[in-house]
Amino acid sequence: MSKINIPRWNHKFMSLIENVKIIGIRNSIYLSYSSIIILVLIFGYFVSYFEYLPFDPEDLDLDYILSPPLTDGHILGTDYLGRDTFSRLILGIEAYLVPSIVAVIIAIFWGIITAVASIFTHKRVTRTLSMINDSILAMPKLVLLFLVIAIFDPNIFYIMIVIGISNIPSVAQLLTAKIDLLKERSFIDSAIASGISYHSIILKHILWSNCRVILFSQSAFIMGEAILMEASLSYLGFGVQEPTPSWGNMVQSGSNYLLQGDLWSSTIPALAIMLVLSAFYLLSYTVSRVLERRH
Amino acid sequence: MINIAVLKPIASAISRELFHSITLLLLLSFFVFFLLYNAPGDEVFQRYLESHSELNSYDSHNLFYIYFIWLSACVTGNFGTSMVNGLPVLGQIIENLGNSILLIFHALLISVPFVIINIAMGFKNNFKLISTTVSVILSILAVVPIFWLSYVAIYITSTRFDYLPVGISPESLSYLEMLLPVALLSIGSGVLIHITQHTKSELFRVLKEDYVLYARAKGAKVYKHVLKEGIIFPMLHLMSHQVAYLFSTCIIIEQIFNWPGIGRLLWQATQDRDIPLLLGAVLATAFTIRLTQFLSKLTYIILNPRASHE
Amino acid sequence: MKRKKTLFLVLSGFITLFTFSHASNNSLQYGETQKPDTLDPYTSNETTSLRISQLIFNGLVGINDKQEIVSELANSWEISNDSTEYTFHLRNNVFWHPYNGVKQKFTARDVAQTISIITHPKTQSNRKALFEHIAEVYVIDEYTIRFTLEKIGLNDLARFSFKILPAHLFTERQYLKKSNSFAHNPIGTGPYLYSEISNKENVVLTANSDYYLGEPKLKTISLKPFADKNVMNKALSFNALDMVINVSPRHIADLKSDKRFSLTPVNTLSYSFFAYNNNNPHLAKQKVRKALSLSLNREQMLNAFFGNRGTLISGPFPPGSWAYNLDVIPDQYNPEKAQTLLIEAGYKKKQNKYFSDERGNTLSFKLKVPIDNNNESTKRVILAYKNFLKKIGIKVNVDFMERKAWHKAVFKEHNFDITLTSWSFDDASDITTLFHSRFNGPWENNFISFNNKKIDSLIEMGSTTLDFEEKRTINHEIHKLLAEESPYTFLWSLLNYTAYNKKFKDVTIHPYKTFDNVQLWRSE
Repeated sequence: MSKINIPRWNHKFMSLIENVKIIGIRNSIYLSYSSIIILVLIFGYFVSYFEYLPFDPEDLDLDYILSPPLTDGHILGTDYLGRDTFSRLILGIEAYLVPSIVAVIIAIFWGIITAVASIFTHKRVTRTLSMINDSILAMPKLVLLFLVIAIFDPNIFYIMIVIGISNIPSVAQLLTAKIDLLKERSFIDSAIASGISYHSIILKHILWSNCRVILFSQSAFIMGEAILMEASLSYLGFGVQEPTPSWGNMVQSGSNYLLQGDLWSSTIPALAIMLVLSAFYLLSYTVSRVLERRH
Repeated sequence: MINIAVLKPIASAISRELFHSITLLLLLSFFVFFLLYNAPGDEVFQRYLESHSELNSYDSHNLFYIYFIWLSACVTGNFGTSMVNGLPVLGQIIENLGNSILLIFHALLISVPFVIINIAMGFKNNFKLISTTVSVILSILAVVPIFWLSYVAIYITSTRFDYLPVGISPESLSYLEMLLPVALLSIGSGVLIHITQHTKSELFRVLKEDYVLYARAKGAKVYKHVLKEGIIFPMLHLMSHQVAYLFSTCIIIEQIFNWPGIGRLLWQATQDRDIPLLLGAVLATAFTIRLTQFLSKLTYIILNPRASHE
Repeated sequence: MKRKKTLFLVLSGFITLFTFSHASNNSLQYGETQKPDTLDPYTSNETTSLRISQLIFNGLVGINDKQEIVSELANSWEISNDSTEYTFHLRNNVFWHPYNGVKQKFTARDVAQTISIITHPKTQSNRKALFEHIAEVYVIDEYTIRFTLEKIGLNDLARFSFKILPAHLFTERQYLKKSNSFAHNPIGTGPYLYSEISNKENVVLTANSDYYLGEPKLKTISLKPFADKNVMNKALSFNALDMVINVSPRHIADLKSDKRFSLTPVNTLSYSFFAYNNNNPHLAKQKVRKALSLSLNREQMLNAFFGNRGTLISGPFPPGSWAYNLDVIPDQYNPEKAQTLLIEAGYKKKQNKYFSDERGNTLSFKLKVPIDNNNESTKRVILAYKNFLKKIGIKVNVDFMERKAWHKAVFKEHNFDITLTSWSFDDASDITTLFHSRFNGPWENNFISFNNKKIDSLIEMGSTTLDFEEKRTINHEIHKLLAEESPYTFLWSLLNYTAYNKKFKDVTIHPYKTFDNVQLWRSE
């Protein structure tokens, strides 16, 4: 019996190496880093959903205020009310994921509509749409948020809607540029010639096959931006309100003690933001680079 | 002897830009007014109308009618008076806006030498590592919350160097005092790294263009052209597009470093629900941002007259 | 190498130069969290505005830091036997701050004019009530003025501490609005005169050389607004500021250990409490309210959040006031008793550890509080409260609201279950409007709709009697009853701290005006 039995995992391993070669080592490091972080995030979301937390995140322990990491079972220390930072960080994921998906959906949906409308309709519509986009771009995002907060209310969903709206122009611009290029290509003409309906050409051939990279990378980018915006708003007092933990208000409440030398309670959520944000941005950057090059 | 034929396309391009800007501002002002008009509860809009000297005599609720009266008041510089301190809005805005622009201008200015040094380092193999490291550090600093970064910076300067860079007003301006806020503004907002990366890639793109390669092969000097196409134009474009972003970040920097700029005004107005002041400040910000973009376009057209044909 | 060293020296020299250049001699800079809306004493309700206007204006009489009435613009006064007629003899050496280079003399006409300005219907002011008790004003001569009162109240003389406005600046307009130039360029008689607002931020006042008590020793006093409290505190320790009016609790320990600063506790006649709305059927039961009060460990909260800088209270009067009954002991933390009380009141504890009423609904309350970014301690108290009640089995849903919306919901619409707020008192310590069932309308002070016949009759008895001792006994009785009834969970009366650099001497801090006898303050 001299049959050489190559284990199956070896195949997979080889194909992985092949993939790394195609993508490039640097890009594959980026990709694996961001996917690990995002998996941890999703895992954390489920953990908090089923309430498997080491401590009750709203439970105050006034004897352990602002304790550093690894004191008495508090892996990442406690905050200014003696609440467990680790549990609150996990619960804080929930405060973002759902609202920031609202922002992403708004930006992507209206971005697509604007882009498609500006390419395939009358020139006057195109000009009006680009004017509207430009006027959104001329407004700093935080200023727009202030306006909405003053007129309506500081509510996380309003905030995310505004972040979504303020990202429409960038999505639309990228898509428009891409579709403009695609329009010249012959496969569109042949698709039209073979009698495929406009709907399916736009949805299937243009958006899905050719633009999903842009949409994906933009989604990751908007998610990251939503986190940063909420943190800034928390500092200014308009973010997610306690007792609901958000990473932004955790950094904010911790940084009240930073100048006195209690570094931990703000640094840990700030580092969490940094890790997650860099994961989102790297994902956005790498995906667009790798997949664009393949096309 | 100036050739009229050359000037004509430039003039038409400028007027096109001007028209574009004005329409845009009109659109924006309508949007802002519309938002206010639809504020939940009648009180917000009603109180705003009562506080405005030109609007309080009209009780018509026709949106467009009121909008045009409001707009004509705005154009003449009458943004109403603040609900909190009773002072005319315009005066408060002008002073504070100036201070913010000072901060933003310097934040953009320091990016110029930085980008040039960074790019120059990228060409030399010995310095490549330094330039990459700096870029990585800057990208990391750009994704932490800026107020936390500022606090850490203040913590470090106050404990290590025994120096507190706040509590200053722009009157007793010295560059040392401005250094920290300006540096944080350009680093923390990510503008510095954004401009660096994009200018770099643009420069490499220009260097790889066929005509440049051809000219270099022929031994012609292309520095001037490459400098213009690869560095000046992209930087001009990038900077003017980052102004809106800098205004956002400025709100937080001003809050921490006690800088009496438009961000402080906006924040205070939001806090007090001082709608006239907020509206004025929002419009002034949008106007400034559009103006910088217009000016950058203008410079571009003047430096590169061929572009006016586009 | 040598050159490097020189460079370093020069640089560090620059740094020290910039750091200490702010603290010039003979001037005081104090920090506030916002800039004043207006600089006159009437149009704004913000403490920042009121504090700075104390430096610019004077009243007929003043109240010093020990709550005694002292002479200010009036030299002496006579009160008629039936206490309805007050005659003031004014100082004849008082000048208004120069206006257009001209200094006018202060006369009785200014006093009379002030009253007509503030009571003018077009005047924007929250302090019109100060003048309601005045029936007639007679200007007898240039330096004598007489008032007759409509009805007698407690401590009427203190009401004449209202600030006097210059009549010669109100010749055309007889009313005062926020948009008047007077509100932003005030002219007064006080120790400091308004100089400028530098760059729209720092308000600079300079010494009034003609001040009737002598020229103030500090040449300038300026107000510096800081948006960020942490940075403001840091600025104090770096000499960029000389004084912080309200030190936030988290910075007290820090400043206490610093030898350069003096930290003065200021006892205000105020206290904080949780208020329970009696329109809620559960909270209308005395046993439920009592159980809520018993389930809080207020001692631990005061210790952890405020470093024990305050006193726990047991009743509706500010501690230190004459009406406060020291025999009533504050409720002790007793979760077992709280649970027994709830069971007595007819609630059952379910498996999910929350109490529920007869119909099986979980006992839960809506706690409405204003968002206050600068006041983190409120947030702490709220969260601790929620946590304590959760421990005994009551659910609390916290609703953070924008301040104006909260004000409307609580005081106008009475649409809340529980809220956290505080009262401040003058030395009359009058609680009539807080607990009498008559005052439960919109914008009135009995916003919890508390209704108790016995309390009502006691309050009425107290307000009719003129005998001070009797009044005290009645108030002690009210205190005892209300402690049992627990319409509020009385929390504590906190000490506020004012910190200033020790290089300033002869400083007296007034409980709410801060600046007292400011002309005597000096720096080394």
